[in-house]
Amino acid sequence: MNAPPLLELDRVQKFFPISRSVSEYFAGRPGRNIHAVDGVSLTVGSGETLGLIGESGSGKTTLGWLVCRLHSVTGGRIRFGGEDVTELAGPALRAWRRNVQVVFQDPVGSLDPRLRVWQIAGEPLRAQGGLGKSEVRRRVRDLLPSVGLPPDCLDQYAYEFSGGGRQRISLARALSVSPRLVVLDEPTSALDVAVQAQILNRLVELQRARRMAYLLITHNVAAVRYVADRVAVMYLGQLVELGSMRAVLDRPVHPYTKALIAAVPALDVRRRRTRYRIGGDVPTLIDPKPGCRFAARCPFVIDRCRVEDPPLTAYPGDPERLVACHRAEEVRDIAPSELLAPAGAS
Amino acid sequence: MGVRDTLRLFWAVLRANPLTLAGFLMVAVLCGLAGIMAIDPWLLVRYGPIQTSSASYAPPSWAHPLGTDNIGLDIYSEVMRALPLDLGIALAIVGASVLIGGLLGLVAGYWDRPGTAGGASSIVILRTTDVFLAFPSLLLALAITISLGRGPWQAVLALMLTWWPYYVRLVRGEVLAVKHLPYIQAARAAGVSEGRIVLRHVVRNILEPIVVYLTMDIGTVLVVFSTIAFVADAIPYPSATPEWGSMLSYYQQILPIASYPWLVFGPGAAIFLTVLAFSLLGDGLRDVLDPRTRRALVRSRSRPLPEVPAEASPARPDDPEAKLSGEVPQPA
Amino acid sequence: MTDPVLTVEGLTVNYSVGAGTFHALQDVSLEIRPGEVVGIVGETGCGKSTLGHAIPRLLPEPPARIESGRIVFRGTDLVTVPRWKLPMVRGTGIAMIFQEPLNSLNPAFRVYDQLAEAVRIRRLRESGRLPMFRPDRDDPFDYSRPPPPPKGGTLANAIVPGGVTAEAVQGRRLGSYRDDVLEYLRLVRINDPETVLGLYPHELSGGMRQRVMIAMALSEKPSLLIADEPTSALDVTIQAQVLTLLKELIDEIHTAVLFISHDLGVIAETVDLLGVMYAGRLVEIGPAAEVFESPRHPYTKALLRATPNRSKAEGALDTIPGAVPNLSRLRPGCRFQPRCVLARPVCANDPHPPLVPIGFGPAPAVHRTACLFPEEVAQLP
Repeated sequence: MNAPPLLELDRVQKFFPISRSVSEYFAGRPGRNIHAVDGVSLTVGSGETLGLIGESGSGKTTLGWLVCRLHSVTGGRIRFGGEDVTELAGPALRAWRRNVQVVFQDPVGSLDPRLRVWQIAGEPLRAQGGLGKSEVRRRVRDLLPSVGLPPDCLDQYAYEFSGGGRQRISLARALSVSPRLVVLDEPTSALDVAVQAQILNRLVELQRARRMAYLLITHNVAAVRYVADRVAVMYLGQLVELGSMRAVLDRPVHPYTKALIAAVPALDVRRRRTRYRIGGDVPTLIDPKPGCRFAARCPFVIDRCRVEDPPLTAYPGDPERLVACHRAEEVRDIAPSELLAPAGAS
Repeated sequence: MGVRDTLRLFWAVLRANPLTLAGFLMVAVLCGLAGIMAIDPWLLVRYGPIQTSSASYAPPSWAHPLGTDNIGLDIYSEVMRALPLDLGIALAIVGASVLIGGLLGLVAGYWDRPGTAGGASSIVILRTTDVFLAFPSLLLALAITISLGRGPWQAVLALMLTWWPYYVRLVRGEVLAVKHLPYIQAARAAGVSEGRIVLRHVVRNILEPIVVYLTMDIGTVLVVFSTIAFVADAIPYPSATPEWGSMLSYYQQILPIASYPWLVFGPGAAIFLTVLAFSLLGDGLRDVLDPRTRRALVRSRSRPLPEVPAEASPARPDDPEAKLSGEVPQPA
Repeated sequence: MTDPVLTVEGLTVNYSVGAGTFHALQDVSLEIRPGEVVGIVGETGCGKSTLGHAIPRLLPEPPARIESGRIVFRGTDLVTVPRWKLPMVRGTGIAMIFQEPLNSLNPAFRVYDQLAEAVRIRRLRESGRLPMFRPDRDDPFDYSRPPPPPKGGTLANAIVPGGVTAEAVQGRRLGSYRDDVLEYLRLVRINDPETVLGLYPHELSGGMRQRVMIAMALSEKPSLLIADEPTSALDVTIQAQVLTLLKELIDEIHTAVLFISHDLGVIAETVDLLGVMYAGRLVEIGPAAEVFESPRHPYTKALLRATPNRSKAEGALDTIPGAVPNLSRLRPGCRFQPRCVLARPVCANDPHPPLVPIGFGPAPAVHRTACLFPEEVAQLP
């Protein structure tokens, strides 16, 4: 592998300052920050899909926005195609945007209600190319069948479509400039099961046809299983596990990954009799203390976990596999299903 | 929704709602009459400015539809002569306020990140607006009018100075609501420059509530302006350029000695009808622009919505998603 | 066999929308026995939320109309109960929890106040000072007397901003309510109930808010609990916690539950009996294990197959072609027919196929389907 990866994040950080009251300011107390993303390093290769799993507060959405430079980083570097794009701004940034596009979660809010389909889907084209109106219409019309929309709906408005239709329009917008990477932020969360299946099929087909890379950000483990080649798991702004999809989803090592996989409801009526035993809530993102951030909820916690940050280390036997746990060796063979106790057990 | 759709919807609301239709017609008539009066007054009135007739205090009749006053001025002519002035002043004040206040509100709402130049200017704009808003607008306008010297232009200027803060608040609120919607971020991600985002996305999406507000504001401004003219004696009457408020002020001084109701009926009714017209129209516009009622109106339009959402109509015959309901033969 | 807590028979609900009629529910029948958990699953627009709201008559009745059918709750048909008597049924008879607890908890009141209100109402009803729904007895309540004022002054003080601090709530001699409220908070496994008492809903996490909602619902000791997508807005691990809590409480308290969700996995691990809804009709109902393992309706089968469970290397996901029909413009016959793999001409004829039992078993819990060809469904891949 001598070609650099398409996207490389190097210890990326994003902090959001909490506004201080006037008295705090004068008292000289340092400002507090929300550590939304706290030192994440990962790569995405050309044409592959990296699934980014996490729950609220994990920072996965913020990371996705950092990748498409809708936020600027507080620390760390972002490299795209070998070039450092962390500091891009102004016209250079806008020109670079044709390489990375986004599909958002909210099918209603992500489309301007005042615009027609060709205007929405053609917006990146107009912003990048200075193309005329008829040329944009022609290109959008040619693009629509590949996302499953009829070519004659160019002049319709977004409100005339259902949720699945709107996501297709979003997808068409993202694809219009033939980006090399598409960031998909929970693309199917607002959709019904049958429509989700359609959109996921579509995403895989398009990836094969156009050789694009995807950064799939979601909490839906089944969607990741279908679409992703590699998986990264985030918790409270940090990466806790990274590896191939099969390895992470079928044989998770990190306790949080195990807890997440165990929590996903399966179509199994025997689970009527099981009880989920991981308690606790997500602790605060504000100036977190040192130590493993999952320590408060981890069923395998030891004293060391509470004081020492576990580094993301390669997993013996599988160099592509990274886990951030002090007890990775000992807990690795415990299956997620063991976190589900049968009814009656305490 | 584009312009054509909005207009079509507006027409549907007009048909469905008689009050709105009345308001729309009244506004149309008023504007038409004002236009005619501005171009060729003789089409509508028979008496020139400050043209007195011999009959004073004449009750309404065919020759004098609203009667005459103490010096024989035909009240109808004076009222009609005042129409373009009053309407024009109200529109000018609202227009100026929307432009100034709207621009300031846009800047204050869109570029407001703390710690940047935009953030600082936003704070300056907002606090200045707060200061203006702390005063009761009518009193402030009165004070400014009187201190500038009582005159029509002073009154107009005073109102422009007191009226823009409301629009700063209104526009800023709308901008804040729209600013964080995903489609703005999507436009940014597409590489659209900030200026274009503001014009193309933000302004177009905040236009509707502002249009509703300013339509109804025209009536309010008219009343306030007439009140200032009335209270501050800002506009002399009789004059070549009458104004309803000043007419009311003059006639109500006469009333104790000559209590003929038609004296004040004319200008009073003119103000009332104008305000009513704009209020009804504004109310109807709000129905057009409210997403909930709009959706109900959209459904009942004559053009049927497709039974099947667009994504399921046949794009390619072998596309498994492309089955239209009921039209593809199923295996037996 | 004990009588069912709730029997819905032939419920049909229409909405008048502009010019037309929206057939939200048509001919829905089901039964819930004490201690049983009945799940209703379906996609958006199938009418499951309408059903959940129709049962305690929480639908806005001017646009919505109950055209026909009965909702028999502990022997009384709620459709015939006059509207002013309905609040007596709710709370102590039927309780409901909703999807987004931030919307269903009043943001202006602390947790203590909202729970105390529920406890207070129950106490007043049990002691006879407020009317309670007693289906098995004559109504002894004297409606000529006004309702009693709130005791302990808690609820009046709640409105004063800053008037009630956490410390004040803890220290106040509030007597009876506080102990009950704490007990219910412990019941829903909240670790530090004393602190939670003084918090506002927005200061709690999503999982905590949902637990408070469950506490509110159960504090009135209802005969029937309707849960409308209670975990859809929660993170996966929190959802698992809340579902575990619900399962434990259901087993302890033996309330009958109607559990509504769009998520088949959540339904699978929570319910005893499962009903599948499509386009306003119940198309299949039966014991959860049977419905999952051998579905007898093409829609159920398609829904189960469309749930993603494999990697892309193993082939494309199965989808259901077409889209949900427009409920204001319905065609005759089976509503799933346009999208059904097994459809044939007879399916497009009125009347809609009725729910018929297949197989044998005790009558109320038998597996029923609204397809004319259930055997062929069994043979689909």
